[in-house]
Amino acid sequence: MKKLIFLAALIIVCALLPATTFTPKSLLLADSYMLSARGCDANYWNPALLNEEEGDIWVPVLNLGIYAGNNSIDVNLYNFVMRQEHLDDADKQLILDAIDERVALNLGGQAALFGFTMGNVALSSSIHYGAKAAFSEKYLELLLYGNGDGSQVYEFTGENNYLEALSYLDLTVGVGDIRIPLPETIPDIKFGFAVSALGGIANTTTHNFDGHLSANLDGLTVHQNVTQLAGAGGYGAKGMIGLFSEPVKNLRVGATLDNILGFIKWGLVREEFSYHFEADSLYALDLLEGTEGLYTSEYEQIKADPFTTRIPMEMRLAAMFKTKQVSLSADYIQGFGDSAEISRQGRFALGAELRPIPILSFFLGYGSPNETYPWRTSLGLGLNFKVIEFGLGIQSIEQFYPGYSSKGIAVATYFNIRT
Amino acid sequence: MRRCLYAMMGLMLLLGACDISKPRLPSWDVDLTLPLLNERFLVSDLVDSVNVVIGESDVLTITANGEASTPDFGEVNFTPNINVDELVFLSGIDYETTVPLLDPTGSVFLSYGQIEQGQLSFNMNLTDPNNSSVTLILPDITTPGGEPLTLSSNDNPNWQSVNLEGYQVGVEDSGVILNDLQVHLIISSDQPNGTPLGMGGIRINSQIGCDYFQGYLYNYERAIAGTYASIQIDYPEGFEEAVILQEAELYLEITNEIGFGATFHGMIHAINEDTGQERWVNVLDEFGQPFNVEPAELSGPVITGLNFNNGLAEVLQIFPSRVELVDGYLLINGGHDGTAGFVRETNRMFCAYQVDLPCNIVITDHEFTMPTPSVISVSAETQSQILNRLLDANLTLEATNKIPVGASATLFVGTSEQIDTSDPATYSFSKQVTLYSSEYEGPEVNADGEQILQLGLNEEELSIFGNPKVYVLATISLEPSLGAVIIHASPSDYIQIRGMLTAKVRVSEDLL
Repeated sequence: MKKLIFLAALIIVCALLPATTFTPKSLLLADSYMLSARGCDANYWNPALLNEEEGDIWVPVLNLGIYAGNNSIDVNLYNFVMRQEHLDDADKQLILDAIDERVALNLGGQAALFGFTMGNVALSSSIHYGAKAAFSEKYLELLLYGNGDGSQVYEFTGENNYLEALSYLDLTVGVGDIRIPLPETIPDIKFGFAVSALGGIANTTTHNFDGHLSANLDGLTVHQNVTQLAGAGGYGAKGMIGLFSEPVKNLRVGATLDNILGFIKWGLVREEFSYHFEADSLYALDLLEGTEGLYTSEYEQIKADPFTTRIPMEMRLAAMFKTKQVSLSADYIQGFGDSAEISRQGRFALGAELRPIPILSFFLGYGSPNETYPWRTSLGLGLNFKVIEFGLGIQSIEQFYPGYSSKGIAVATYFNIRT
Repeated sequence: MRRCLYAMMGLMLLLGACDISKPRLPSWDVDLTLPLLNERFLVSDLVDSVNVVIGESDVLTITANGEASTPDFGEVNFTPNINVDELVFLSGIDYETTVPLLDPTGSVFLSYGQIEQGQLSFNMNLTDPNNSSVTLILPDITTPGGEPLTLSSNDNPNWQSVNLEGYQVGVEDSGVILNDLQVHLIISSDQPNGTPLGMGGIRINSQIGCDYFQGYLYNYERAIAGTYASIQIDYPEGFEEAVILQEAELYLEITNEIGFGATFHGMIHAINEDTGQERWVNVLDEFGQPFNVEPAELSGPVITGLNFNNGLAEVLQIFPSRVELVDGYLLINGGHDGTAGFVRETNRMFCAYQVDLPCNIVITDHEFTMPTPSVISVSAETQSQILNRLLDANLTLEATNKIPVGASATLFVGTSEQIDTSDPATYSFSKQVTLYSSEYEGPEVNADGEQILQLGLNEEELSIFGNPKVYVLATISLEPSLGAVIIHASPSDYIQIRGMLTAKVRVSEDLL
């Protein structure tokens, strides 16, 4: 039991909710990275910039980012609960106050497999994995308070109860530094695009979840329906276009549209797991005569039809003021759908890179929240040498710095060879 | 470069400095509500089709059945006491005479009979039997072939006997009472007419028994004996004081094979074998007269149904466990609706009786107390759970009472078997719940007839169940009725109880 608690606590406390595309270095700027990405990174952030400076080569393994988090519980709360001998009503309310409708957990990461640039072309490949799960606050309320005097009816929906996971790898080719022919009175605008072939590794999604619980003089009524889709082995593709311009010296602007026609079709393994439980107006004394006929419990596993995971499009608009010592950037991110990584609700990301000396970079970032994406700050340190650059960073969720109040963290390392 | 490394190390130290508590689970209290029961207790469920039935107008009725019968009616006997000794025989003079055929007791008036036993004696003492003869014919006594009984002198001067078995007396179905037997004398001799030839006589002075009899019977009794009827109902002690019966009915169904009308006589005897109480009542009609039993017809038996309720409720008020018909007999006085009755030796009268106690009652203020407390054995594990986890418990019952009977129950809970409801020192606590009758109108019952009953136990009271044995003594008080109430047993007469248990339970790591 202790191991389970520890595992749950680890996931809950040591995590964050990024829910968006990222590369390891972007974590250091809280995803305000569209105009900072270069080389292979630009394949995923703005292909127009992939040849903006020198090219690079990703070093596998050392380009790695992982995140884990939740939307509710921080180390402080965890420590508080674990140090209490007995939870009174005030303590319980403290726990529930930390939760907004659901306890949502997220876990994911990206690892580079390889990547290099040649001129204005980049070829890269990486693995993406992400999972999110949530359970309704009402479950925790039931656990802490019980079902009370029976006057309350509990309804559970898929909005607050789900399990979703997606992992895939990409092989991305990007072409950038394409100058758009415009009149001389208009500042130069560069264009780039990237095309990704996607290989679906595994996917699961909660297709249906509804539950009902009531226990009063009308009896115990429990309904639970869960349908979970699972797939493995799929294929897909997506496209990305990007624009970049520097209309004023030191001020850069850009726009990208990602996940164009993005999809992964799952066909090799596809299963549908359904569980149905129904008990109506059940009374304890009924059980004395046996349970036959008192409830229905059905589990079914069938081979599902091939299904497609759509990857919603995401638009980014960014501006950056850049000098030799300082880069300040602001990104606006707007999704056009909801998925494990993307939200329809727009958000901002602000980033700063400080270079007191040419070889040393400090990274700072702030990401604004939306309904599925809590605010976060980032802090990073990088070293820039002539041939190589490397660094590491950390994000803190809903806390300005990693600490007891963080609801999750992300860590990333990057290591690139300049060519 | 060195400064950079210091900065990175500082960052790692910052991350590693988090103090995360070891995982452990505190305890907390939850309020759990568990639906317990939803039962509809129909009054008709009390019906066992033996002692509890649904009577007229769906009234719940306690009933008992018994049977009784007469023995075989047997022969109709009477002793006519015919002693005629001075019959004079005169030569050449035939003549007819009669002898009286009367029952000296006045009980039997024969119209027709088939003789099962009986004897006739005659004597013909002739002075010259060789030259004279006397034939004595009794036309009222015939053989089965219809030949009259004919007696001859046969040179025997002594008294001779004739076994009358198999003979018939009278004319069947004539309806005429045979008060006298005709005697025809045919005398012949070689002597001149009028010459005395001798003397003779006829005697029937022993009992005549008829296995088939037509006629009239007066003050003719036949005993009725039978089984008793048991009522196997466990009434609470003192029930007879809590409930006053308003009606009771005795149904008698008499199947009469005897072709005589009769009056039925007998008593209903009720016994409560638990209390030892006994009561009797004569079975009489509303005018205090015995009931008439219709006679059988020639075509077969006739069934007479009799209803009796006069004073019966008072007798059955003791809520007997046994009801029986005692001292029963049939008294025949006359014939068959003014004509001659008939009876065969093997005829009987059967009596099936049913005692009904419809639940038409007045309920008084009376308290029942269980004779001994119930014992609840609590296992060590359960004791531990109760003491360590259960903080309070509350049983909520929603009752819908469609029966015009209400009650209050008080439970006295203690750790000693010696519970005295009047001495709080002998028990730990008591709880009372009240179920109002369907007639009750008050704030405790809503417009739908639902009433909420609460039975709550706090932590201190629950701790009593931390003992290996807990004793519970219950007292029940019925809600006095304002008048007579009738308990029906239709599908709409029930007590519906829905209950849920709400408990505050302590959850801790060792529970999970």
